[in-house]
Amino acid sequence: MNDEELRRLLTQGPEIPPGEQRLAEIRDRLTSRLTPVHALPSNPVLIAFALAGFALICLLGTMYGGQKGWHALNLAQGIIYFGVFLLLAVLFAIAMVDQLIPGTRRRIRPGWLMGGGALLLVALAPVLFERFDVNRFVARGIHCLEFGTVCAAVGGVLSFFLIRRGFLISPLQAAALTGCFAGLAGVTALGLVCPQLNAPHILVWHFGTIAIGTAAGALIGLVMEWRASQKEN
Amino acid sequence: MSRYQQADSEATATLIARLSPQIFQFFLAQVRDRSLAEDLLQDFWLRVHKARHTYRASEPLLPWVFAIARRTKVDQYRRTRNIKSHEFQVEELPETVARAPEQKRTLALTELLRTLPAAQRETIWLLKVSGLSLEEVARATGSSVGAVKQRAHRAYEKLRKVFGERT
Repeated sequence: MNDEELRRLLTQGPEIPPGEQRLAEIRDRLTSRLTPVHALPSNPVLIAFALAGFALICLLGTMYGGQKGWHALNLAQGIIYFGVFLLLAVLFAIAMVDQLIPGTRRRIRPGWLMGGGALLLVALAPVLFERFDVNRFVARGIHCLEFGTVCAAVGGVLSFFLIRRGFLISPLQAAALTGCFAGLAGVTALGLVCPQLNAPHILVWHFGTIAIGTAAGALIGLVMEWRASQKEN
Repeated sequence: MSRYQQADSEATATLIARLSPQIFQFFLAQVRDRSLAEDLLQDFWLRVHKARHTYRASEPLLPWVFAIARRTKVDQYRRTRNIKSHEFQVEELPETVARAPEQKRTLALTELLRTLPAAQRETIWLLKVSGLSLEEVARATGSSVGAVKQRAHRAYEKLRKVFGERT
């Protein structure tokens, strides 16, 4: 069999139709529960909603914890540190919104984004913050982790309201991305609040919030996937 | 599709009639069991119904539809795997599959595709049988156009080799 015959066989297609009775059953089930629905808003609107939630977390965080972190940074540090957070927040919001609509073009690959984002942050902390003091490392850090995790949890709840509007083709990916995005909101709020410019402190106790958010999101995603595979319609 | 979103029952019936054969063939090629493929088709339409608000008229329909079909198939596979892991066979069952004459061509095609790994089989089916473009297959499978091209190329290479051995 040559290439042309192979191509013809593939493009001929099969001829077995679905059963008429089953089709009628499907038609009856669907038409009996028809109600008008509004299509989802455009992607820029959904991305704007996600970023508004991100900004709200930062605002609530500073209202509760103050802005000592922001004042402790010099201008260059502030621009680079929060510029990176903002860039990652935009990329995560785009990737998250892509998950809401089946068959949409994946502009950003979630795995690459999470891996690249983690590498960027790990490389950023020692470059921006030159203090490596580990005195009272746990006692000073645990409060930051608590604060960041609470902020991330609130961010996660807000993001959940957004992602539940869509239809998730990959709940695991979507939930992990959402957790990561929420964790990023928590870290940004921490950056504004915490004045400790210490690389190990920031790497472990601040960025740990992202790891916790991502892990929690992935766990929720796994449960969602498991439930979807158990469900019989 | 837009009329389906506005609860037009006639448009819904037309959509079901037009899309079902293609989706059914897609399922049949993957599971090779008519009854299971019909169950999947029903499950697929219930999901489409839940997801209908996520379709936008400005976007192509087929990648949206096949992305949902793919998800339906994945969930069915996991469900079957879970059930199989809790079952044990009490006796040998006889082979009862009788092949109807009109199924010959489909069987030739599914026999051909059976030699491929699942991901390549799915890509070839979407590209060659369902007639989706590379971009549409990439959207439906959540991968890049490059990855789809690579899978299709590998599948074609393998099919050529299989036929070289058989002829």
